[in-house]
Amino acid sequence: MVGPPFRSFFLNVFFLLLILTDVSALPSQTFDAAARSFVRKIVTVMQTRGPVALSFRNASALTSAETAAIRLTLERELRGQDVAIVEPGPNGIELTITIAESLSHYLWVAEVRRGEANDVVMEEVARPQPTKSVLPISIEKRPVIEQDHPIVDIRLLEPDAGHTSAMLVLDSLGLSLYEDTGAGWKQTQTVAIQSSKPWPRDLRGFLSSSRDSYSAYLPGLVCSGVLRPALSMQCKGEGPWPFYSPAHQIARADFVSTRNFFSGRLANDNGSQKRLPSFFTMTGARDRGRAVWLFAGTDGRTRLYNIDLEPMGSWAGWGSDMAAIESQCGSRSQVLVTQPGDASAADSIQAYEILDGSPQPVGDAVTFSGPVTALWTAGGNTAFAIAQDLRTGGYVAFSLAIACNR
Amino acid sequence: MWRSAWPLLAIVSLTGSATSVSAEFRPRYGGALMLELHDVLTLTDPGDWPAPLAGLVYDRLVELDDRGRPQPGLASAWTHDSENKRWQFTIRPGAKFQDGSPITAASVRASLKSWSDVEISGEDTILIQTEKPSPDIPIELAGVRNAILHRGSDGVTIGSGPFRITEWQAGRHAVFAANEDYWGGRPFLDTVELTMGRPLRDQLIDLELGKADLVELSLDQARGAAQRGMRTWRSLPLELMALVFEPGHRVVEDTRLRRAVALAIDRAAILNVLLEKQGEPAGALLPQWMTGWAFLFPATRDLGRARDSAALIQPVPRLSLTYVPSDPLSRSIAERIALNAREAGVVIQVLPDAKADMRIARVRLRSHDSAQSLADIAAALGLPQLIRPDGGTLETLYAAEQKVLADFRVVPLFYLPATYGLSARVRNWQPAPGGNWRLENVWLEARVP
Repeated sequence: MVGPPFRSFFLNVFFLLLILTDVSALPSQTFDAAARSFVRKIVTVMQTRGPVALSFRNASALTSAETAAIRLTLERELRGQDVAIVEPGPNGIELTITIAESLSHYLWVAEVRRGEANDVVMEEVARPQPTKSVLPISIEKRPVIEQDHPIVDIRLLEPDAGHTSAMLVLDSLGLSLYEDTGAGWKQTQTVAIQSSKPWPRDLRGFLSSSRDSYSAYLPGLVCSGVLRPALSMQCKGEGPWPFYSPAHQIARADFVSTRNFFSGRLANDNGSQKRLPSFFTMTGARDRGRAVWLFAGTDGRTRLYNIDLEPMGSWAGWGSDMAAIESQCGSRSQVLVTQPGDASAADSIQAYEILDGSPQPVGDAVTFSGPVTALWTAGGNTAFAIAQDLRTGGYVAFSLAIACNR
Repeated sequence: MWRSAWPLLAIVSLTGSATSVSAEFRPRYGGALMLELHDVLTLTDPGDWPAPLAGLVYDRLVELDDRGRPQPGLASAWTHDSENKRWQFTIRPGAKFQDGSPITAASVRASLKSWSDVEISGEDTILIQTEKPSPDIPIELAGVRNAILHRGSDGVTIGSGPFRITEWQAGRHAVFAANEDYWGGRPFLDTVELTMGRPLRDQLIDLELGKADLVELSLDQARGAAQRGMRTWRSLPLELMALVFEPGHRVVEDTRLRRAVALAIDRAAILNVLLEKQGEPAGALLPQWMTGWAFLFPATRDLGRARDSAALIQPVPRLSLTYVPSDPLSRSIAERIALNAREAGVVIQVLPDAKADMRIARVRLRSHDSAQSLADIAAALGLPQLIRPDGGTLETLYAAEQKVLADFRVVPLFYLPATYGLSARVRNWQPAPGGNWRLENVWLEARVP
């Protein structure tokens, strides 16, 4: 039979192995301060430094490896306070420690029994904040930047002489310029957007940029400025948002400043105007080489128009955001489309080709851990998608591109 | 070692088919959400409103997230000293009441009139100073009672929340319209139309006929609705059901008799059969998800000790137990308690709406704050004040709860969730597990042509 000292040794080895075999175990130092405070309270109610018979239970969702780490830490603290841990005896002090939890925190509860006396002490322990994950990187979907408040659009700026790569990030607070330090993106300048009214819920925004200047389109505001020598911004009242077809036509659409959609009023470069059903997004693509426009209607239907904005067809089943890109694959024109859903669900983006007026899915969808809140064409074979991480609540911007033979 | 592996958020469930034919993803503005309630609200103090509804009209300085953690509300930021005695809250710039008047430090202080220690420390800053360390002040400020509001000349309260009251037919109907200037962005819905005083049976019929979008469900209705593929939602267990021995009734002044009844109750069987596993047995006044220490109060039956306790009394007096007649669940549970007690040698007569020795009481918690909830329970059950609402240490709160339960005058029975039915067109339904429905984020699906 194994005596108490050996048993204690083997138990410790067992717990240590448990910790080492579970990489998700919380580092014990996470709980060091709480353990010290907790043990001080225990020793105070014990009124003696005598030995205790310790029993330990887990009433929380922590794993056995995590609770084993806590147990080791508490045992170390007890010994540090000259409290020996012994087998239960008839007249000894019984110490029962429970790792419990409430909605907002963990709670360590110690019940100290000395004969008829039964004291309870507690230690509230904060839950570790969830760590933000970096989503898998692929050629098709590349995370660019992550932040806590909603990103509405980003643009990568090609480096020119004397400058590094740069990036503009438009969010609910303002516009930020990031520069590539070689070790990652670093925010170098920010300008705040002064809006006289609260932003609409489900804020939309769109960036258009050249090497040295930009325009930012937001509900009720059009802002523009230069990047150098210092990031600047001047804003005026609302104006139409520009959309580019692959045949280089520009259509300008009126955004409803207090909502999250476009009114349906469109103006072409040649000055002609059209009134279409209201829509969330439009994008210019190709149908067997011919330029076409696609509109994601607020009624849930996607509508196809020719370059003169004459209707060619419609269908249901797509999400409300889409972005056409030009690639070297298939018909060389694909439309990236979000899935139907709502903000509580994970999302995915599927590529389609428009062939003779009908959408054909091509390849596998790429998935996101939360809803895609923005999807804009960035020109060429690139689009940017912004997705919310439902676990952390943060927003991640992804660069998307079509790669052939995958 | 035992583990409950208590999956906190899994308690909140969304069941049934959420299928839809629409293809939109981006939220759609517009529409009226039809809401039905059994209770009748009064247009007085939002503190009297159910917590999910109060958030429609009234903001607080602090909101709680899904984990009960404080997040900025009307206060955009706050700081405190190292002792948690001096708290400074910064009011969100540009926030306005629904009548257009600005929200200032002065109006916030006026709203927090029950707080004696609020000072104005700037046009947009208030200072709260306490004698004792008060780390939970942000959680307290998130309570419905601490809504920020002011009264118009007609005495009606005006809030700053995402919806404003535009129509009020006392006891029957109310319309809440979107606050176009809400600091958090205009809600997607145009209106929320509330029908009050609607029996639960009629609410379910209205939901099935497409006349309502959000209705209350009894526990048995919720089960049936989910089995029929309807959408249902269940909150955290927010409502305490307890057996209360009436003070002043001579026959229940004997602690041994109260103990016998308390130990005879078979909560596990009642939970399985009558509650169909919805809710959780309660040995404590406050639920485990709120305090973390409820497990210290056993909720298991001990028929042997119950019989021993009853055997000490000769003769055992006959007891009466009453319940609210409109509450069939309370009736069923009262009858089951009578059966349980009979096995311990105590005879209980169950009577509806009578002056009895005991009653079944139900208390809906309105705060995530343990001290405030304990004070609320004490007030609702007619108990003396258990603890100062400004709290104390964990151990003093636990000791207060232990003290009131030690003499068996109140016997916690169950913690029950609130259950609701939702129409298929309700989208983005992401309520806080403990309360606020967050209807400002909800939108209604359009029909695809």
